[in-house]
Amino acid sequence: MRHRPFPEIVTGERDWEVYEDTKQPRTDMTNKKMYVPLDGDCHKCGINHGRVIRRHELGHVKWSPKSFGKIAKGVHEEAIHLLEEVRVNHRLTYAGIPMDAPHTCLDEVNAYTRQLVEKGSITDLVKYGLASVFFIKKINYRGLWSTHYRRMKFEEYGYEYSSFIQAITDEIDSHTLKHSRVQDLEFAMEKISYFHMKMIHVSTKSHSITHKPAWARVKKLAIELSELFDLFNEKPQDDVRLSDDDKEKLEEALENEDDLNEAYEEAELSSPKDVAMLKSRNKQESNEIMFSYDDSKASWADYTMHKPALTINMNNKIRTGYTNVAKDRGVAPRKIHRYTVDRKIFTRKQNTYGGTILIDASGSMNFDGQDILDVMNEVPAVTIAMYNYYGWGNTSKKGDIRIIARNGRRVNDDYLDEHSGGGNYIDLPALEWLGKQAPRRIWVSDMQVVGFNGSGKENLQQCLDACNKYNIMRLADIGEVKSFARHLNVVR
Amino acid sequence: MSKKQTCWDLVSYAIGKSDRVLLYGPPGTGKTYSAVKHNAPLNINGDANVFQLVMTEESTSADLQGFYQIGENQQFEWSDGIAVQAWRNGGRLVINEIDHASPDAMTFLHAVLDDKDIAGITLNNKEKETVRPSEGFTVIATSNADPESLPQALKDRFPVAIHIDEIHPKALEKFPSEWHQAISDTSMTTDESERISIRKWDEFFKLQEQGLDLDIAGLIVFGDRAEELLDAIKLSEAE
Repeated sequence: MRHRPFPEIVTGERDWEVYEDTKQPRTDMTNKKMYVPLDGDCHKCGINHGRVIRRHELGHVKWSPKSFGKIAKGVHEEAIHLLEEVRVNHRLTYAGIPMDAPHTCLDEVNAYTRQLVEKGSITDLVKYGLASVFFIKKINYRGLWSTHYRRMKFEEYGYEYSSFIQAITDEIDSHTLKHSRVQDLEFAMEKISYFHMKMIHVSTKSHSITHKPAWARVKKLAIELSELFDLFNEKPQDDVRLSDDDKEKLEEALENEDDLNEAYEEAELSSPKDVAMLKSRNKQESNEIMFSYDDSKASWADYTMHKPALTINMNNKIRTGYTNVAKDRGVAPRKIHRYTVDRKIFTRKQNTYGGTILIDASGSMNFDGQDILDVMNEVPAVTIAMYNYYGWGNTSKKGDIRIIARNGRRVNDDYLDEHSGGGNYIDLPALEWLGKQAPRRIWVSDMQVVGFNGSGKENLQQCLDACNKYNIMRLADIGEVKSFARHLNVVR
Repeated sequence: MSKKQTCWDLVSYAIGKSDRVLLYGPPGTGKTYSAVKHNAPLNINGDANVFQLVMTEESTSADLQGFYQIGENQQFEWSDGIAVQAWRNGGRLVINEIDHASPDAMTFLHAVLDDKDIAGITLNNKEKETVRPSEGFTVIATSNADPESLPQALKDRFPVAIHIDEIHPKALEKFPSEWHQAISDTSMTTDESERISIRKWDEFFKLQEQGLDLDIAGLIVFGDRAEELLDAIKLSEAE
């Protein structure tokens, strides 16, 4: 038996045509054509998937506009489609005819979600989640807090979304995924909830739920969603699973630590292991920050350069600071006195690790003299500078860049304590300064750059552009500097 | 033609002006209703001068021509068939389900439907009376099947054949206007598994008038198809 829906009853208009299409159900509002499955119960699971699909398409007939109108530059049509799905599914629930059965077999949802966990980009995950996120019951109030996947009441959501979240939770709880992948999944789920809530909350300041979100909201949110699509469309390059050794480490850590993220930290599985991972992590983090920033115009302060006395000499503690190394072969003997000792009478200019490290000291960077020593042991010829901006009593309206270590010497700890903290405002000028210093250039920052106009996308983009232009590698903290400084270094 | 002509517009133009009209299309659309009621000719008493019969495989030429039957005085009396009655009275002969007629009846229909100036039948009664169609005689036939299914000779005798692809507006009038398209589409579909007859729709509304709620009336009348209909109804009422 074929089940034909009745769009003409919904609209009261004539000339609707209904065609069978099981692969890509859709409704052409302009030409009054509906393409839906017309079959009955699924031969695999016994559920009539077509019924809810037909119901959903009728929802489009009822509430969707005939056309999307002019689509703003940069907005993906798919983003509009997905948000319209969210809106229509929500309205169906609040009209008393919810999508009360899955539109596809749940084992297929599970299998596809697991496939996305393995190979999907964050964008893929968000798209799949948004296509199915809706409440199955009428709920009038929902704080963001309770939309976190760990606190979610599955029975309140549509079957597919519950199955999707369950599959992701199971994957995370299997403790076989790399920490970065777990963070990807959590980020994707957070964003699905974010867009869902933005669509259905009465206002940005309210946690009350509107029964009738307007079409205008779709177009507005599509701008933001399209941006997410652009920023997070990269699929995982490497295996997302932990090695057997790392799995064991994580399991051991979990014996003492309940919090999964802490356990990853404890098992030392959080930090990037190589430069490729660093770059990937940096890209991910910058995208996340970019997504959270607003559209304010970039505006930066100027800076004052400080070269304080480097009163503490660390040369006696630094292991490898030589530039000319004795060799037993060469052209012109320069150390003839070594002939009787080790015959290394020749010298060759040894490449010495150095470069420049610029530390964003605006927040609490949490480093001290010992850290500087540790870094210098890795890259002896390094120059270390820090920058920040003090607002109170700052009549010059300038930030400060301070050289705090160079040539095996550093400032004392009091100086570090005294001048750390404050605001940013000179991130870009400081990076431009770094761009003129000796490579390898490292920027130690949380990338939460701030200009005079606040946290704007343009601020961050300018800083990222400067990093590309000057080949600056961003590291998250001084711990990463110790781990990667030598590896990253370009010898001089 | 500035306005799109519906099949019922064409029917209204043809009936009363053309002598031989064939109306064909799905059942339950109002073909017979129109054939009988539309511009029905009146006899001298002011009654409808319409003669109608339904053709079946059992129908014979005698049903059209006439036959003997035992009368009140226990003698055989000649009784004119429906076609001959229509001829004599110059009335409208409505032949329903013409495609179902037996070969015998169909052959006789050739004679009934001949052009008026040559049409004539000598009855097989005692008088061997020859009858000809009187002024005003017309034929309207109805069929659920396409005219192609009729024998060529019979088909040729209907110069006007109108495909009825819509329900008669009068039949729809009793339903709420927002339902007209759905009722029309579902009752006109050629797919038997999808078809919902207009009689079902009628019953659906009657049951509601008699106090059954929408869901129950839907389930009783439409069975498995009730859900689709109820979804659409609820959505039509939603804000």
